[in-house]
Amino acid sequence: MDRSRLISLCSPALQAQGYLPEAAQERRIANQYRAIKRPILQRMRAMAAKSKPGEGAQLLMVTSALPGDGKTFTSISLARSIAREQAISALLVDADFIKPHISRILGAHKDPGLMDALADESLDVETLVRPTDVTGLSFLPAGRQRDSATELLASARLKAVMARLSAWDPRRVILLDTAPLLLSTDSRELAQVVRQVVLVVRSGSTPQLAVKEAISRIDKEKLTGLVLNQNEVKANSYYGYGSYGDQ
Amino acid sequence: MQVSFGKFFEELHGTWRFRWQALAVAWIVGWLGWAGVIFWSDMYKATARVFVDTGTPLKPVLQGLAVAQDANAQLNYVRQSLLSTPVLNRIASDAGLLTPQITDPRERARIKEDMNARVLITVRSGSDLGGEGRDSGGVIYGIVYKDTVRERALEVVQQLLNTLVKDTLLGKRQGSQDAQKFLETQIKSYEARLGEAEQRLADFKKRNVGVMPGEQGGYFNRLQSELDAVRAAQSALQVATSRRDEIVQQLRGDSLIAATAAAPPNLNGQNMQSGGGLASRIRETQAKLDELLLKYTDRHPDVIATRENLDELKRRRDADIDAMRHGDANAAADSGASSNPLYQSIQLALNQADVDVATLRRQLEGHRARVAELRSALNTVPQVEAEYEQLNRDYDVNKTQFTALLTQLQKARLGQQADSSGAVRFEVIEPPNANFKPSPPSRSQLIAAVLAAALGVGGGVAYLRHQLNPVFWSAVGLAAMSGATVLGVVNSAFPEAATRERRRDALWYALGVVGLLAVALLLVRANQLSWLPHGMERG
Repeated sequence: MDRSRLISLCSPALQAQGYLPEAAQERRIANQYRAIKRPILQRMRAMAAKSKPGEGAQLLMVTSALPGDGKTFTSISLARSIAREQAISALLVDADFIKPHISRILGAHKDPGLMDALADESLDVETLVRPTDVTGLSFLPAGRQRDSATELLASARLKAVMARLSAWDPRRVILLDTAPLLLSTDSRELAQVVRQVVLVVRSGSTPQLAVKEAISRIDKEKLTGLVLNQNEVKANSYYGYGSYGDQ
Repeated sequence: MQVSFGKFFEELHGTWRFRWQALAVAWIVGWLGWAGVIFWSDMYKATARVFVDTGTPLKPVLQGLAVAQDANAQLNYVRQSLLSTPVLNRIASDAGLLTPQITDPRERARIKEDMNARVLITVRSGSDLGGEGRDSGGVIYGIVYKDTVRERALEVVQQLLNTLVKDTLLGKRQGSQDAQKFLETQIKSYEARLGEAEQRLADFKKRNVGVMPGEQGGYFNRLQSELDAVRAAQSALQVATSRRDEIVQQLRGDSLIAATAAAPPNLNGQNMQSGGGLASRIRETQAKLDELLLKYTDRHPDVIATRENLDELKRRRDADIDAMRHGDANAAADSGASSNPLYQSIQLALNQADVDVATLRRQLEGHRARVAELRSALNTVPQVEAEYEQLNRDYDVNKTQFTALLTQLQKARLGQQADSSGAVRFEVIEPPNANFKPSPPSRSQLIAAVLAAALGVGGGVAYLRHQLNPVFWSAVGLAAMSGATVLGVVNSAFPEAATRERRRDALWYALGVVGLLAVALLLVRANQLSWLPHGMERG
């Protein structure tokens, strides 16, 4: 593999920016994500058993109601957790065209990505997928910014691209990190092509009303569940279930 | 208990989200409030209290005449006189509120109005003092005045007190004179009424002599004695009547008639015409007849005539005797029976008996009549009693009132004299005094209050925002509220960093709050040192 194409997901820079947990928390958070991915994967397997390859059973969308809820962190962590699974791999797609955050922090914001594949029919999206230094995890950047992003997303091209990605490897989970639901309509379009949606909520920050609104915009069938992010350890001791089984 | 504790912390946590907004609001409110305090002037309160005994002249004079001495009316009177224009003017200029420099009449009026508004006069019942008993009827007047300058407040209260004391005396005297006039009028009217009542009573007594209550005792006795008299008269009459009848029987007795028939002729002139005359004519005629019979026979006309004459006379004599038998007095006299002394004495007795009977009869009738009179009079007794009671009552009532009024008038006159000799009781129970500390709320207190308000408003704003914008703190809450599955909970990835960040934040925040407190303290200190300006100089 071309080493220059390798995306680094273990850099200290990432940690410094807060997208990777610090060493002391690594294990606990890994456990928590393990718990989170289980129902997702279960569902995915059930869906995959009923459908043919290329129908996008592996497609999963990670979104939030508002920016700053920890969507990016969740996407990355969840992707890494899934990648550790045996017999399956993960593909993290930056589908946030408003703010291609992941692409930026991974240093791939100038690289061609999903948007380019959508715009150019001749382009094979699979060629744009980049390997990372995490085994079993690959990354598709957002691509270059375009004004016609919305139209492109609404087109049938998106379906084709997604079909191509899912057909490439039936055992590859495709994680789409999208823009906050309440801030853009892109996510709605993307939600059409995925089979599961995960909504990230930030503890003590995301307004309840916003969460409610966001949920209402998601197809009930597709909403696999919510993830409560950044929960204070102390406040959690009586209510939450996430600390149970830790450490 | 755990639940509510957790809930409490959740609320606190939630409010904490908006702490910086809270602080900003607190600062704004604080500064606005403190700017307002500049316009507030400290007021010093001066008070004085005086006890006035209204028990002397006013109250007893009007007691019982259903004229209540209203403390409020008195107070109004006092207040009006205390705060009348000339008095206010004088006090205002004496106390330095109205200086000669202030010439604008509107300004002067405003100052006086201001002052008027800040004077407070209260009245309380003096019975609160206890000891004296409620009858003393004293009142406590309180004078309260506030001013920005302590000495001025004191001066004004002193002046007001002096004026009050003077006015009290004057006010009382006036009241006493009015009361006296009132009494005099009342007395005149009662006097008239009394005269009428007396007259009515006298008339009544006259009308009902003998039937008056009290006299009735003798009255019943009279009735009784009359009844007895009736009975006595009846029996006496009976006796007299039977005696008379006896005498009549005697008169008609044969022996008596025989005696009278054989009676020698009485050559009393009177008898010739009467029965005595008849008897003698019979004898004469008989003698004549005898004489004629000596010469002539029965067939001689003279003899026949004389016999006829004699028969005639005898017939008359018999008739008279008959009549005498039947009690004919004339017949008795004619027959000459009355010339008989026996007859005469019996006749006298009969006359007397007749007289007695007649007298007794008259007496009986008299007694009976009086009995009837007494009985009918007695029937009207209850009526009379009632009427008498009524009249007596009227009279008594009028008399009592009249006497009472007289007494009170006397008292009033005495009282007034006592007044002028200075016997009205009043006592200054609290001489004019003013606190050295400004009366609440003082500026310092206001500064602190503004601080409290600022913090309160800030906190309130934060809490309100929290309430309007709730968030999730737990998976449970999230699941419940959203109705969706919670896949899991992820803790803070950098707890230590987060903690450090929080600590730093809290520190800055504390600094902000402390800063606010410090400003408040500084302002209080500045106020105490009189460095703070006064926005408006108050009259």
